[in-house]
Amino acid sequence: MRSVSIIGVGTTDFGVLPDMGLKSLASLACNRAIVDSGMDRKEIEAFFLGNYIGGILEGQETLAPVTACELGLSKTVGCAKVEGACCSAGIALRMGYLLIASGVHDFVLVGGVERMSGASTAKNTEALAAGMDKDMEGYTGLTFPGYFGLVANRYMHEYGGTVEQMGMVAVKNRSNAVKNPRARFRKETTLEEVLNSRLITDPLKLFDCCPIADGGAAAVLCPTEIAHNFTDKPIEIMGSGHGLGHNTSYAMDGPSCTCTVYAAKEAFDRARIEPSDVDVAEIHDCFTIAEIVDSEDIGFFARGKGGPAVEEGLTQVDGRIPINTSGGLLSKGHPVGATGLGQVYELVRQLRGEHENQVKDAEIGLAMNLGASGLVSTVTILRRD
Amino acid sequence: MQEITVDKCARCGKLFISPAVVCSACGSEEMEAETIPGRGKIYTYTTIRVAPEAFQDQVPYPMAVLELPHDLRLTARMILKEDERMEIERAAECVRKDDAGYWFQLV
Repeated sequence: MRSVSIIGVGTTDFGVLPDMGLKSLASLACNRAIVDSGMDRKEIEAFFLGNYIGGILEGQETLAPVTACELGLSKTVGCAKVEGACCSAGIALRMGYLLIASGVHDFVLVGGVERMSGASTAKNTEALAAGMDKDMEGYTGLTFPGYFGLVANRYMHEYGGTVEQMGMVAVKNRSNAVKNPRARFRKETTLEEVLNSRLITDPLKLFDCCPIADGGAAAVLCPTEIAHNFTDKPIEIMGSGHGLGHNTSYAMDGPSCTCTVYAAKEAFDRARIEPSDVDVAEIHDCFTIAEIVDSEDIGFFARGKGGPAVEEGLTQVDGRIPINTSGGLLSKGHPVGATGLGQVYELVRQLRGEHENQVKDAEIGLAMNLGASGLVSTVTILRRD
Repeated sequence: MQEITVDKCARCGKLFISPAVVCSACGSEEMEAETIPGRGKIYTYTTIRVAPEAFQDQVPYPMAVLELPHDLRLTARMILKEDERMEIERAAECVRKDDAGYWFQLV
């Protein structure tokens, strides 16, 4: 297997971008990644584009070849849309990584995009719920936020976690986003404001939930052995993992998303490192409880210790394992099909030493992207080369 | 009490909440319809206050994951009296089934 590196990244702002269509967001993010890489776009051999609900909300499918035409890619490029709910972009990255690692291709463009602000909250909630198993529980009225409400109550029951610990995740991530020009929400909040916000799905309140957003993000990949021909700061993909979880909420194995446990194990095995070796992480905080559970599923903390870790400040920018220095989904917003590569964009900035919330001497970064109610997950471990 | 419909693998006997067309344990495609008692206890719960379009007229609505006999679980709607609150481990019983699936109440 060949080692794979990232030679270029690009993103749009995440937020409410009413003047920008779905294809335009994808094209901008991808173009910026290609320009950042310095490579000739005609040499890109494959293009994977993550997108989740563009068909439902925007009526646009077949988005990868449509975008490839606007980008002016070669007519021999193989392209496909990749869908795995909120994990779509993480999977697009994984597909590109596999093709280069296996020796099939040398240059692959991977992207992710979503446009959500044109639809109401109810319509977005309905579209997002399409990621649940329609035969088994899609018809019950359960929602993605509802699933994490189920997880949160079970977490508190099993480990004595508190709503205050969850609230502190929101306070931390909002604070991190103040300096991030790509984030939707850039105002600090307080624990009191989080705890007094209105209930969405008990015990989760408005500030426990990430906002929707429009946005795109992308990366260009090539074999590590030639990455230095394109950039002084290539970022190696040390490890990649892709795990399967459960298709119904009732199959949950305690307050955990087991798909992340499997994805993390594969990624750490391939990278031959331990969770304690990671310097900075962007993990899937679609809800405050999700960040806590993710941090345990990845292995940063023992079961039940993710909540106390937030309380002790271990996940702050200057903590033992800084988590979501970008502000995370909770502040950047969650353009569902783009999020996984938005995380990678933030980490590449960290590992290049260029981030607004720079972690000192950050060498190894981890991105973790989750799809649906614990159904699919990717973990990607990056290293400054 | 409303019973719960399950599919039982004709070859190995494994039970699944319906509908199942393949047995994930032995690969058989032969399923037999059965029922189990609609009695269980709450594994976890929430109350949905922001709903998909089709459910908007029903908010807020309580839901729970129920632990049923034979190590099966189910996500279902809950019917609560005004002073009732859901709690993990609390016993519940199924009272009806409709387009939104099974409905349980506390016992």
